[in-house]
Amino acid sequence: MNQGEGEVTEAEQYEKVVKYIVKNTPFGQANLVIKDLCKIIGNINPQNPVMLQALRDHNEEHLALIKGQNTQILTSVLNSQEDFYVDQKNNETIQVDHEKLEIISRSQVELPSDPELNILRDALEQQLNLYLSQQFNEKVCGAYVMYQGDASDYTFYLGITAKTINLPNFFCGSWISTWEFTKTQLKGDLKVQAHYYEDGNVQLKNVNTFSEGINVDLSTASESAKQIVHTIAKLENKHQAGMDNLYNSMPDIFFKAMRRPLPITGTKMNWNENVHKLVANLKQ
Amino acid sequence: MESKEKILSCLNILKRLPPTQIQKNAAALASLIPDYAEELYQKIDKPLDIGQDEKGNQYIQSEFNRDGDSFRSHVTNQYYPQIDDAVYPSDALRKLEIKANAVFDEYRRLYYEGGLSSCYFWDKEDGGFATAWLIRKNVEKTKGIEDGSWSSINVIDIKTDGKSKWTYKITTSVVLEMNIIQNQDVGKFNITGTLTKQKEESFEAPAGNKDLELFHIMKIGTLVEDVESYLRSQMDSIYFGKTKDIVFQTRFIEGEKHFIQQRQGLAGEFKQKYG
Repeated sequence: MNQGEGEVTEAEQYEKVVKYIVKNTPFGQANLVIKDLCKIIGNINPQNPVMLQALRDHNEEHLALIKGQNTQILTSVLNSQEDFYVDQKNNETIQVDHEKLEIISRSQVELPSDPELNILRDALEQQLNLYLSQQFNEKVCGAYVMYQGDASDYTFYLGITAKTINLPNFFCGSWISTWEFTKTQLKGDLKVQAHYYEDGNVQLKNVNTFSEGINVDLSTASESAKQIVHTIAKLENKHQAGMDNLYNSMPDIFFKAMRRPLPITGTKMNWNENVHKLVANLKQ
Repeated sequence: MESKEKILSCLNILKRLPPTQIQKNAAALASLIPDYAEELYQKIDKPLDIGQDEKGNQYIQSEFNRDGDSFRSHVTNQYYPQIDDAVYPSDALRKLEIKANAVFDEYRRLYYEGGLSSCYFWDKEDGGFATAWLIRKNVEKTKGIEDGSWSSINVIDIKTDGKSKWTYKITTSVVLEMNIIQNQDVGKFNITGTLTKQKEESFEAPAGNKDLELFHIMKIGTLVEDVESYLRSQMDSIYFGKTKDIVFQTRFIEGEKHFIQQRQGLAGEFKQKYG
């Protein structure tokens, strides 16, 4: 199409669109969307670098769960390198297949680590897995814990996610929360999405942020981990209780403000009467 | 036909993208198929816009009263901005359009107690005609709602067998947007979506085609009322009920996981046994 003279190439033209569309696709439907994009653009398949990159970005943004034989990893912008992901705990780099959500290969690597922080990280992982098992849909759920720095100056990063994917019944949902904490402060971002698309397209989008003071004592890692995860659970429970309240009160308020189920008379409109009356008025 | 397949793929994608960004989504996809962009835009359901003429009369702007960048008002039958060589309904159809608008306005008043309605008619090549009955209602800040809107898009295709049978085929889409007032418990909360339903009915015209215009308005009006009422109740259960279900089976309220999964398990067993 347009080539030369500094004009945008065909690939560049559709790259922006592909990125935008795949980024905004609900988790669980990206492969289908990419198939349709290939049909639209023509002469291109899902293994094209533009498509693969868009899928990778999508997976990182949604904390996609990638499974291996006896391990799993969440992909995130945090542990993402050029063409692999870093597994800090196991000192490995992992290559993944973003379409199949499978681990392709793993290699040992030496990563900077701090023994005290390692202990806290492992304790946090244990607590998070317990939290997941208690309150999340285990079909597709996972968590990660990573840290930067050393015992004197550190930041921990946690991610929690669960997904519902039910394509035969036209719905998907995701709960994605990312947290970071230092010795004295815990901050979090939550993204809740639901998508229902039988005979239509209805989507819930709910985002919230959290911030709470904490006090981390590395010498009592187990206790600290319990407190941190307990705080996260408390905040997420409060959020979901708020959603519950909203769902109880909103339907009435919202639909009443929109359209009555019946006119105030309690009966349907009398078309015959109204048609004759109103058209007669017109003639005057 | 290649264009049909590409448009279908676009519509498939639009069904998955956030409906709050429908304009942006449609523009992005249209840029991939510039030759079929017009055709794609005509198939998209999005919130209806409102225009106003120089006298302050409001009218709904939609694909069904658009010609280029101008829209025809149901009040004045003029295009705004003005254009030469535009598409107008025939005189007979315009007469029907005026009557339909008067009657549909009463329907709007009874069910919506506010908002704006417009009916647009157009002639078809096969001798029949078609019409779009549209409603736009806004909800301003009230009791926890930041803002919201309802757009009804009822498109009815009318055909006759040449004798006395008239067939009405309706496709109705309701586009709903709702933003909750931002609060600390829940943050920013938005539900937006479209639901669509189709229905077809045939009727015998009154003897001698007496008052045929009024007959059409009554039949179309009754269909619109039926389908809109159905979609309103569907909206309630899907908009709220379904989106809540999806979230609450992804993350469970404290203590409820075991209880809910047990119930789901029992329901599954029941289904298997008694199908």
